[in-house]
Amino acid sequence: MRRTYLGELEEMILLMVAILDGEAYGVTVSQQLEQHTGRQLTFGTVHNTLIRLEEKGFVASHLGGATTERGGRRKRFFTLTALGSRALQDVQELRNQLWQMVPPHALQVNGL
Amino acid sequence: MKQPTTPPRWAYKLLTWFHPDDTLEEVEGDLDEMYQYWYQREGKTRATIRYVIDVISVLPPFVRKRHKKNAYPHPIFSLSMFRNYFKIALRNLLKQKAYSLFNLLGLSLGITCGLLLTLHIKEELSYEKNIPNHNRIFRVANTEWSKSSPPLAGEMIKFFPEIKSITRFASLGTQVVNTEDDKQGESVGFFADSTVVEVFDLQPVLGNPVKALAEPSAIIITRSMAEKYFGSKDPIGQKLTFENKEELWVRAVIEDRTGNTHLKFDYLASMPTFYNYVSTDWLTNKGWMFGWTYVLLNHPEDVHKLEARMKDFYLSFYAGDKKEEILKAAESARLQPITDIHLKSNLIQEVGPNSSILYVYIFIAVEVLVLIIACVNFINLFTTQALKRMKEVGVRKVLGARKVQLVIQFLGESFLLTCLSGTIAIVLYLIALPFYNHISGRQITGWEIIQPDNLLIVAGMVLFVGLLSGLFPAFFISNFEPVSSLKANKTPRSSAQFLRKGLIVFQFVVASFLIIATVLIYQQMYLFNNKQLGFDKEQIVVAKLYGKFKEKLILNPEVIQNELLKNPNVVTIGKATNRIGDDASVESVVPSPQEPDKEYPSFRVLRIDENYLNAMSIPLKAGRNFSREFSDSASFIINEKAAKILGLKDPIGATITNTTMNIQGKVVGVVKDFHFVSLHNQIEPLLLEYRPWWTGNMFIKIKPGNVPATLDFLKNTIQKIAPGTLFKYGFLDDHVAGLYKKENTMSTLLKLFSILAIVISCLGLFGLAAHTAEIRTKEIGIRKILGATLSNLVKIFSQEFILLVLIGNIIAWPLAWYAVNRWLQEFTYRIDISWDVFVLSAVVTLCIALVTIGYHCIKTALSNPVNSLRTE
Repeated sequence: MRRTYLGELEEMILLMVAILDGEAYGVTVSQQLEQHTGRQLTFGTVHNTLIRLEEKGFVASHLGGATTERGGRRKRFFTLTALGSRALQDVQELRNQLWQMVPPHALQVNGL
Repeated sequence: MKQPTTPPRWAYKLLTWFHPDDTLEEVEGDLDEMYQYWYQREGKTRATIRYVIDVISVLPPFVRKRHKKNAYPHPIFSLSMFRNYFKIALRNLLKQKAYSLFNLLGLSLGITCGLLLTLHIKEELSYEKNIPNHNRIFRVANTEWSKSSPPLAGEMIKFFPEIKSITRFASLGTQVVNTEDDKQGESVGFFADSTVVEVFDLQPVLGNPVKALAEPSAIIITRSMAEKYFGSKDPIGQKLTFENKEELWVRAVIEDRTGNTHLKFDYLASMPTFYNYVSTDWLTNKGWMFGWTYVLLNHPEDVHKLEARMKDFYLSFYAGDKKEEILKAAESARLQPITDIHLKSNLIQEVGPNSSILYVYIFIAVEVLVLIIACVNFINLFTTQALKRMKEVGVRKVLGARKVQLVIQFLGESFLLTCLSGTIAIVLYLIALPFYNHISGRQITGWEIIQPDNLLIVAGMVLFVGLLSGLFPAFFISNFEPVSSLKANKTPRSSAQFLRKGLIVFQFVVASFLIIATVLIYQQMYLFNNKQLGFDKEQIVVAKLYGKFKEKLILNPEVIQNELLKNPNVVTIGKATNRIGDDASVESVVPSPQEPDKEYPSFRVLRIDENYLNAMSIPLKAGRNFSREFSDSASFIINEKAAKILGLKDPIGATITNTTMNIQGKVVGVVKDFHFVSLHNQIEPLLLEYRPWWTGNMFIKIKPGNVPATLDFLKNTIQKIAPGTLFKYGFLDDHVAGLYKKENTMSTLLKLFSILAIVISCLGLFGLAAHTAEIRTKEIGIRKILGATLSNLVKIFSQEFILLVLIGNIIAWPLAWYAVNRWLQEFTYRIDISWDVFVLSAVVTLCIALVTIGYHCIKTALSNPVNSLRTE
């Protein structure tokens, strides 16, 4: 029983935030996403999803310090919250459970 | 290090303008970084495309807004805040007593005007709307005549299956009525067919009105007439004597008709009674315009079917006449919706004088203008006042007020003021109502305001004014940057200044427009009232002749006239069929022998006695007056116009024929053209016949001085000669003035409303001058110290306003000229518009403006500069 619904894109981005481990901000998330999944998303989609994840409490954000690169503009870093990591784990667990229930022959037909 | 590449500037600008502020920095940075990344990997073009797409993806409405964490709740509707707003509004009102007063006064006056005019317009538009079938009733008329012939109705209902019922009215006019118990009074009525009950949905109270109207010598009366003559007695079967001779029996009582209508009556006499008067061949006369015919259709849209088949009907109705003539007549046939008659019909021999839709438009225009002026004022004053509250706005914003809250606060304040004005306006309206009724000749009662639709109008106006005047300052002020509004005294932005100036110019456009229009309309009215009419209308008493008195007067005119002339104040007594301005009989007059193939326009015919021309001081141009010494029943007097139309070089002695009445006779005199109809119309050809025994009105020329005594004498003498006669009289000049009643009413109302408009504009100007004076106090103080004289200061102070007023005038001139010119086209005799009126309006508005601002001007200029400079 999951408490909050996690969309597929949200799950992906949440995973990216987890993967990036403290280095997650707009640019890195979209680059990682593209590298690993091959999906080219508009920046707005990523931006909006991050905001939505934060509203749901799955990520937390803080502004980084100003650096000379990118004209002194600060980055907003995203980190996984406890709720977020719990949500990811839940998803994972649920998937595993479901995998267990799939009869082997049903998969083989499709897989080969 | 490589020079960093930059994304396209325009896209970047787009981002900075439209992206939400709280995430702008990070997104800017992110997109920049991405651009560099794409630039290095895929080149400039790809990077630019991607950048643009990404920018668009983070613009509203695509972007999601980040809500601040731990933000305070912003309840828009919280009781304690409302209490605070209310308190602040009240304090501001009281702090700025003058402003508040002007605001309220101007707006209340505007709304009062609006209310009065709305009621006026509503009343004008309400005619016939109380008849249940009003959308299915049409009057049969043609392009010239409102009346139609007696057999038309019977034929039409046979020809057109779409007609449910058809009824005819013949005029009886106002009659003196006596009961058997010697109650006497005047009542208005018509002869009517029994179908009138169905067409106009008359509700029976007693008796059967349908049956009654089919009987000869029968009348049906309204409930109020029954009460007036019979009190609590049963009216059915009672005898009423009309004009002391016609005896009719009451057969039924109907409910009074409510609402405005052009067909007002207290009683209806049956059509068979009317048949008694005229020979039967007249009743089948298809050319005799005897009365008004109204049809009730089964369905409102059927009127198009009727119009389409009108030609066929006319061909069968007038079968035997020349075909071209029938087609011409069919072409001119009209079915007027009954609801159009009051405002859109001005035909020959209407039931009564109608109004005009033009006046409704004028009043709507005036109403809108006055309301707009009042709003403009309110906006102006409210804005200036609100600008002083920039600090308050700043503090509120710093303390966390949201824009919506500020807008609501200011809107609420403007609504508070407008609601207050609405209440004052209702009071003012109740005060103004008696005067208004007096001017417009209406009977509006104060309670009418309580009717839900009227209250709705007030509410609508308050809402309209409140929104219009509150929205601008609300949004304007709530947009202030808190920091800049908290920093020292900042003068209002120039855009607001410009708007205010524009609004002042606008106000003065309206004010001078109204001044010019009022003056020109007044001049036209002056022309109406003072034009040389070709006769002397002063000191003439017109009395209606009827019944026993009329009989006696016709039998022994000499004796009675001599009796009346015993009084030295009675000069001459003449008689004629019609008063000036009454619709005179229209007949066809041709010279004999008649020139072949020549058509003559119809003549107006007036039957007079030998003293009429004297009494009216109408000069003869040639020939002689009628006289008892000649047998003049076959003599004619014509006017100059008639002589010209008949082509008579030497009219005296020429033979002419009145073909309508079949009389041939010689012309014995020619009178100078005089205006026997109102000045709306050209002088028409006129034929005067000597028929003292046909006349219905007595014209008594009296000497000025002690008029009441003379009137008493006339009354007593007539009472002595014919006891029981109601001496009903009026003065001819009053009657003539009455011909221009609708113009007079409009002129008076317009005068009133333009004064109001000017007053409201001045209130605005006064408030603004006070504001400007306040802002410029310091400047004036400095100028004074540096040696400016009083006149210097006044000039500096007022020239800005003078310029605005002048601009307003110049814009108003062509508009006013155009509008008044359009109005004047209605009249045959009209004034020329001269340029001095325009100059006058400029001078008047300038003077008013100067007086208004002069007070502040001089007050500021005279004040001690030390006081103004010391404050900070």
